[in-house]
Amino acid sequence: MKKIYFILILAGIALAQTSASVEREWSDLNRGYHQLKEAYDRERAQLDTLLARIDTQKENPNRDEASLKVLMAEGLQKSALVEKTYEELARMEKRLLRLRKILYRYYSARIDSLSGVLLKTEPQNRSAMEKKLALLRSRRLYVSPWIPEISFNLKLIHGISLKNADSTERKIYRAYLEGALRDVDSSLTVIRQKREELTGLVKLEQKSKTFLADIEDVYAFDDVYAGGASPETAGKTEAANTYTGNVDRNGTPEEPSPFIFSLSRLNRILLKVDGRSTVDGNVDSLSTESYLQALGEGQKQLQQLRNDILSRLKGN
Amino acid sequence: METTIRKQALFLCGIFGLFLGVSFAFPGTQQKNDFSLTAESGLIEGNRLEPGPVARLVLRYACQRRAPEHTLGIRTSFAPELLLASSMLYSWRWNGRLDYATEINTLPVNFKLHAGALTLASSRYREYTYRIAEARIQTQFALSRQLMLLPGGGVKMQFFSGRGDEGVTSVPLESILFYRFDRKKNIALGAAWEKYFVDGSGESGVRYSPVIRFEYKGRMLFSLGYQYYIYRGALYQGREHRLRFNLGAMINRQVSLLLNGSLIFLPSSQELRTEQENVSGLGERSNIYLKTVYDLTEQSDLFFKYIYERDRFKNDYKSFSWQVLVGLDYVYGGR
Repeated sequence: MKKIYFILILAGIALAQTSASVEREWSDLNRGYHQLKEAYDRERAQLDTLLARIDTQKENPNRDEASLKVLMAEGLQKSALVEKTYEELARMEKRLLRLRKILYRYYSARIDSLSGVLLKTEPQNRSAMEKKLALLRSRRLYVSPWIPEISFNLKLIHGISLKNADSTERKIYRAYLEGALRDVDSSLTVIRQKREELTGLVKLEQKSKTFLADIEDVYAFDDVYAGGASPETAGKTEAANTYTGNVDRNGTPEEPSPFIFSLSRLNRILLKVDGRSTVDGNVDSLSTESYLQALGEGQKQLQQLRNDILSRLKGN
Repeated sequence: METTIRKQALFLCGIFGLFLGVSFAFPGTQQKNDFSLTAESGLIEGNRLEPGPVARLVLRYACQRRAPEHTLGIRTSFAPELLLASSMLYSWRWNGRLDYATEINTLPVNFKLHAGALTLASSRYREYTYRIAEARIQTQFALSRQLMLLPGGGVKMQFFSGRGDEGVTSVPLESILFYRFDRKKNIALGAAWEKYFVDGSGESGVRYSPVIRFEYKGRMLFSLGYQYYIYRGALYQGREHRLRFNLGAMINRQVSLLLNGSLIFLPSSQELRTEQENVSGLGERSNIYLKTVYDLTEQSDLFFKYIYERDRFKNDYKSFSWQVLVGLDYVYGGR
């Protein structure tokens, strides 16, 4: 029995180390990725300037052929460099996606197990555990898909601590958190309305199907392809890949589990509801059930974010 | 006749065996059972067999087993029907259906197998017994996010009398291209083909049609389908237009309105078919079903059904009927 405990402890340590190293790798890689992205943008801008210069030279009837040749050689070199940087960026992006998934799964598992333990924990020990749970949740949010369009910065929210801030900082942070909270609340209201509307539609569809089945008592299977064969099931698999964002550059769907709802996609849905954004074809291709499921998942994640903001506002 | 009954029995045994086989194949799957009970009562008017009040009780049982990649569902309903007119008449209908679906994860393919049988029987008039048994394979190939190909086909056996001596066996095949414009609108375009054989006589025929169907799902549901059937062969040569529509709307949170209908028209220059030549349609026929559903509780609904049916054949035979039914739907096991 002792041996088993020993093995379990060792396995626990090994696992903890693994997750710590993954976290470190994610953090380093993320930093590196942003630096490289900046370099790439810079090189791209330089290349654009160079190309513009080449075009101007070419159009000039009294051009200096030697300097044009030099410019073109430089352009070729720059272009190769940009291409190389892009490849490196793509490689890092892929690795980041993989790490994000691993961490998301790890945090989700920890949250699930801690939530289970929390219920059985004595009240005096609960506070520490709740803090740990909140930390894990905010970390999970951090590795959730990035939200580029939402008006507040998720990274900044996670970095805010009112406890350690001076009075001016506290004032600014508080205003920022309150603004973010309002934003989240308004998004939640839209989601709730949309969900209510869709739940009604799904209910109606169900009733319609039952009614058709009553009538089909007479027609039996005469109408299989016309009524019953809507590609909802196939659509679900496809949709799962669509809104998890797990589609690589070639459009090949990757493993869809665990279910990670892309908040950026949700953001697009919300913007679309308000009529503020362009049409997102991928959202449209979801079946009603998948769309409803996606909204449910989005609501859950926004609710989690709301709790996180509230706890930061309270100074935890 | 014996051969026909034997064939039917074998078919049903096959379905049952398949159900058992697949049930045992996925023992550790999630299971969902629904049991529903519907009672209806109302009036039947027009020149149907025996006009008068009707009481109908429907027991429906649906069971679904679900594994990550497979779904197995069995649906069956039994409906004893009592017509209270000058002379008592009761009939019953049984509809059993088995659905099996599987997805191939590595390919964008979805495969479904439906098999089932339906019997409509009357206590006094054995010649009005109608039986149908069918097995069908339906596949779905996702060509892109919006485009899907749905080829399918199967075998269908129909028996037009209780003795089982009048029957038709047919092989329907169809191929549909399904295009989803967006989450709300989709269109299906394709072709259907069916070869049928009259049991015993050795006669055969074929019918085929283009298929078009449009569907809209917004604040309300709407679908409209059209088929233009062309019949060839020894039995019957002719054409017919078929329109099917389906409409659903929520009046408020508790009340829904559902409308379904099917209209069959023959081109005016064409001679109407005789009843004896009935294969899978019955001359000019229209039926419209309207249902108003009131949500009473999470488990039960109160509904009013209005049914209108109209048939027209050669030799001036005309028939129409309308029914108003009030019923209660109760589902045990969750929706």
